[in-house]
Amino acid sequence: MAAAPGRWPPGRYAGVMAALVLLNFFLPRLLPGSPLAGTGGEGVAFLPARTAAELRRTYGLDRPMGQQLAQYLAGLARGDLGRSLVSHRPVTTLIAERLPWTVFLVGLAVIVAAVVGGALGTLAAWYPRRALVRLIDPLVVGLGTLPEFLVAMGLIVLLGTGWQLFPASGAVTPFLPRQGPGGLAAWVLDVLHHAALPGATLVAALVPAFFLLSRNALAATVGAPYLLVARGKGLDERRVLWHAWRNALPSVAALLGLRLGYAVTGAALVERIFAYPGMGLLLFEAVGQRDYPVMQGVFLTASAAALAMVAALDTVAARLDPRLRRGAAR
Amino acid sequence: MTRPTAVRHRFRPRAATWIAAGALLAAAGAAALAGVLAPYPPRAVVGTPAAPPSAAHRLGTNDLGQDLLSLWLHGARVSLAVGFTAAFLSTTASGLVGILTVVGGKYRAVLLAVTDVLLAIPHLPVMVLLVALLGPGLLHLVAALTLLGWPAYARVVRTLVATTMEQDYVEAARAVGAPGARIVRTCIVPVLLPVLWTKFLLTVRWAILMEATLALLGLGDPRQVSWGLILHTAFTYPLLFTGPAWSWWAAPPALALAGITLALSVIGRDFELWMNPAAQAAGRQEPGPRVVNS
Repeated sequence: MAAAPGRWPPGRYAGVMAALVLLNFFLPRLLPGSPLAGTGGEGVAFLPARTAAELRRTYGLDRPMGQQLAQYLAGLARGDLGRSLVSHRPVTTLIAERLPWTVFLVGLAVIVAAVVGGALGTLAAWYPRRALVRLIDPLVVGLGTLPEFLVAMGLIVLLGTGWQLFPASGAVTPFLPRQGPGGLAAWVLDVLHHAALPGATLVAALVPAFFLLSRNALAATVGAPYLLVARGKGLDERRVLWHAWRNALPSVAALLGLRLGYAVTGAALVERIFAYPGMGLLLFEAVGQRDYPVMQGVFLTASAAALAMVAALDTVAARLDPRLRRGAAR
Repeated sequence: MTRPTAVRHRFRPRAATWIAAGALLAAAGAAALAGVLAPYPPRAVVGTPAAPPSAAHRLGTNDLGQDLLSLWLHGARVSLAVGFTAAFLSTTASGLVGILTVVGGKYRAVLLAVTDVLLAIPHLPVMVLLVALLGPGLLHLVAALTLLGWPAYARVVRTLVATTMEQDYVEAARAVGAPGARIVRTCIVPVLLPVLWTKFLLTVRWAILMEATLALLGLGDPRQVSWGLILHTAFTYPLLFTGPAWSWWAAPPALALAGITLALSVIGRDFELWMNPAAQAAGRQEPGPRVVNS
C-alpha cells in the first residue's frame, strides 16, 4: 500500500468509522467465543449456572441487543470503553498508559526509517552505477524480507546479551528517579537506550519500503526536462536534487503517514519480544488472558488512529502536491 | 476479434531462482515426509528438558523434553499448509471481487464498501480479535487470513478489469453478442492471471509470516505444531537468551521462516518480471501494492 490512498469524500470517513464501531460491537457478540465460556468454549472455567447468570446481568449481556448497542454507544460517547476483565481497571486508563510508549517507539522508528530509506534511495537513484550503491538494493531489500523476530533475535544475541551494549527488555530501568539534578537527562538517556534494540528492529523492517519508494520516485525524474532546465540555469547539484525531491515528496510523505497510522499495533511482535510496555504488549497480554474489553479497546483505538491518519494524509497531500488542489483528483 | 495476447519473454532463471526453488522443495519435502524423517513423535516427551543438541536429539529438546528436530519437521506442515491455503482462497476472492466490483450490477457498491472498510482497518488487531473469538484452530486462522488477504489486490484487479473493459476487443466481443460470462472468461481472466499469480506468491509469504506472528503472540492452534508455535514456546521460556538455548531452539524455526519468505520473494520477483517485462524495462519496481506489513 505504498501509493497515496485515494482521496475520499468526507462522508466516507464517517461511514467507515461507523462501520468499525459497529464491527467492534457485533464481532464479539455474534462469534461463538465468550469470556464466560473460557478459552475456546471448551469450558475451562466451570461456572455454576447461577453465577454465570449473575455475571451476564452485571455486564448487561442478558438484555436485548438493541439496548446493549445503545448502552455501548452511550459509553463510547462518554469515552468509556468498559473495564478490563482481569484488572478491573478502565480500558481507557490502560490504553492511556501504553499509548505514549508505542507512539514514541514506533514514531521514532518510522522517522528514522524514512530518513535512512530516503537517503539510500537518493543515492541509488542519483548514482545508479557506483559499485557501492549497487550493493544497497539487495542488502536493504534482503534485510527487509527477514522476519522481524529473526532480526530481533539477532540483535538480542549480538548486542543485548552478547556484548551487553543495550538492554534487551523493558522501556526504562525500574525505579529510576526522574527528579533531582540531572535526573531528567539521565531518564531520557535511559529511555533512548532501551528503545535502541526494538527501534532498530522496526527500522530494519521499515527501511525497504521508503528506500524503494524514494528511489523509484527520484529515478523517474532523473531524465526529466525540468532538471535539465534547472542545471542549465546553473543551479548547484544540491538545488537540482531538491527540485527532484519536491516531486517525490508527496508519495514518501504518504507512506510515512500510513506507517504512522498503523503504528498503534504494528509493533506488537517487537513489543512482545522486547517486553516493551506499548499497545502491542497490551494486546498480547489481553489475548493471553482472553480480556475481551481490552482487545476491543485496542482494536478501536488502532482503527481510529489509522483512519485519522488517512484523513490527515489527504490534507497534507493536497498541500504537498499542487496538482491535487486544482480539483484534478478523481 | 482480437484476443489479448500476453507478451512473454522466455523464462530465464537466475542462480538465486534455483536456490529459492530448492529451498521451497526442501521445505515441502520436510513437510511431506515429516512422519518418516522425524526420529520421534512430535509430542512425545523423550529426553531431559532443555537439553543441548546430542546424538540422540540433533536439535536438543525444549522445556518439556520434546525433540526439537521432530517438532521442526512437523512444524513445516502447518506453516506451509496454512500459507498456501490462505493464499489460494484470498487470491480467488481478490479476483472474484475485483471482477464483480466492475460488472457485478447491484452488488458493486456493497462490495466496494466492504473492500474499503477492510482496507482501512489495521490487520493485526482485527485478526487477533477474530482468532481469539473463534477460538484457536487452523481453519479459523485460515479464515481470518483469507478475510484480510484479499482487499488490497481486489482494488488492483478492479482497476485492471475496468481498463480492460474499455478495450476494443471487449467491445467487439460484445458486438457479436457474447454473453457476459464468456466475455469475463475469454477477455478478462487472461489479463488478470499474471497479477493474480504474483499476488498468490506474495500472499503465501504474508500468510506464513502472519501465522507465525499470531502463533508467537499465543493465538496459534496449540494442538498443531507449527514453526510459530515453537517460537512461541521458545520466547515464553525465560532462560532463552541467558544461555545458548536460542541457537537450537528459536533459531531453526526462525531461519526456516526467513528462508521460505526469502525464497518466495525471489520467485515472486522473477515471476513478475517474466509475466510483465515492462516492469523490467521501466526499472525494477516494487511489486504491486504491498500486502505485507500492516
